[in-house]
Amino acid sequence: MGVDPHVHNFDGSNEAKAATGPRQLPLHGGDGFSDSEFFIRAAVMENPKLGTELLFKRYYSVLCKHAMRFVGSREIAEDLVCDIFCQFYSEGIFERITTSYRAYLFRAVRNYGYDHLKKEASKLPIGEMVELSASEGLQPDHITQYEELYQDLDKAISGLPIQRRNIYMQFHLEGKSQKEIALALGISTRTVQVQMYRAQQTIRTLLRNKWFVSIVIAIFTH
Amino acid sequence: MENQEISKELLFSHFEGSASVRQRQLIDEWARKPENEEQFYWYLTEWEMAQPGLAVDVEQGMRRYRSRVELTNVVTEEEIGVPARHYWPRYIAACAVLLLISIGVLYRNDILYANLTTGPGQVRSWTLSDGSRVKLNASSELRLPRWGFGQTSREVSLKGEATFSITHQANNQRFIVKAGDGVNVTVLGTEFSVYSRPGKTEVILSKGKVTLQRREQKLVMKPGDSVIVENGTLSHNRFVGATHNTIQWESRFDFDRTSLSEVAHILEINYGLTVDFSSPELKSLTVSGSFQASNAQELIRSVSQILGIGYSFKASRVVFLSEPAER
Repeated sequence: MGVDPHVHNFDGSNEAKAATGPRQLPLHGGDGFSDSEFFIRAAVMENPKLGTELLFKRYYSVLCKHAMRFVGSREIAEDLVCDIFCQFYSEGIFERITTSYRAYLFRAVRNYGYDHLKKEASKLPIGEMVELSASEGLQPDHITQYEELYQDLDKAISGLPIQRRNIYMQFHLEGKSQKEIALALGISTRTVQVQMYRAQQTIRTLLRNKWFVSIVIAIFTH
Repeated sequence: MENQEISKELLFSHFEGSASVRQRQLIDEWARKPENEEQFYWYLTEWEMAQPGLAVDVEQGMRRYRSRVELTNVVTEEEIGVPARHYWPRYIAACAVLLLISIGVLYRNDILYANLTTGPGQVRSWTLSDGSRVKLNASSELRLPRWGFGQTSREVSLKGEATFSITHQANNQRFIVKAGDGVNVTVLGTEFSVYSRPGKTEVILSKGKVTLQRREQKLVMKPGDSVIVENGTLSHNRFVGATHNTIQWESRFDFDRTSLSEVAHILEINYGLTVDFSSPELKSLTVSGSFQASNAQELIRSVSQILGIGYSFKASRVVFLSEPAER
């Protein structure tokens, strides 16, 4: 069976390039886990466009849910998952996948989620634009680190003072505007902004200290 | 190292964050085997589906996905041949490269850029591959890279007028609009309009924040601000307000030695009218200038006045007449 050497440092785009040559599709019967994808896989091979849409319908919401754990915002999560499916179809990734589609899609979501948090954590205060110069593409070595990461994020959010957390959740998860939040809570927009800023700083600092210490930060010179 | 079985219960408790460090190590070791990793994602899917969460609109997602695929499709159709390259004998590959290069040189701009254009009196909206929306006013042109748009850069250039609604990317990638007079607008995700015609360039911001750069000069715009570059000088007007709008949708017709038969064609296309001429010489009259007209009647009247001819307009039939109508 085609064992992909990149299983643990998987990166969506790298895999696409790394996978050279045609591989036997592991249509392994009997192990039960790819079996349930047998028909979708057949559909994708038969008609990639329709097949991918079937796949989309099946996994879109669960992938969005998972992505949200990392990116915190529903909007960004949906965007990200759409992108992954778009790549999957447009770049012909489906032809080269040796694992189940489910495993591929989840790995892609988790890697993008990880990258997103890395960028988030490397932001300087006061909305300066920064870019990571080094360690791009470095991914966790262990599969459980992804869970640890989103659990840490969750803890960081839960650890915020109640009102700050409330504001943070309404803004990022429910996608409310600062004005709406201010109105609902009977406080000024300025206060909402300050609370949001502090929440973000706390979360960034926590993430940075534990996860992304070695990151070099370079300021945009443009 | 023979892995011991990892139970569904253990995985679920790990997903919830209640597994110990030792248990996580066990899971890591276990998941190194591909079939176990498959099982991991299988249970992750099952667990995630059972978790409470905000409802996701699959239909809406599907629409977004489809429009994205449509835009990237243009690119992939031209990329055919790349995935299989490892199996081609070298000389075929070399020929293909040569051919591609010559085609590339010949059609450089067509290959590198896709153009979105609107004709006179035509307004159209597009969703770009990064999910951003753009609405082009009449006689405008937006040029965007076919390759790597949204991946390596998001840079477009505009001739004419357009309103943008830019999506914020997970990687904070900037969106840059190059307008006339050397004006560059840089955004992360926001709504704004750009007017870029010969002689005048204006940027109006309705939401969010953009940086505007013109040669050495760089300034930050806030919602409600407008920046105008006219006769080579730049002015920054603050808080012009949301009501201020430089773009008058669907009302502009730019003609440059446009023949009356072409004008007739525009009327036919835009307003579904049938157009006739009382004498064939009328067809070759030409008209130049920029017309503001909110409907067909206004446009016909303005054009006729300028040319000193008459017209009759009944039901959906227009006839241009050699003599101005008696008033």
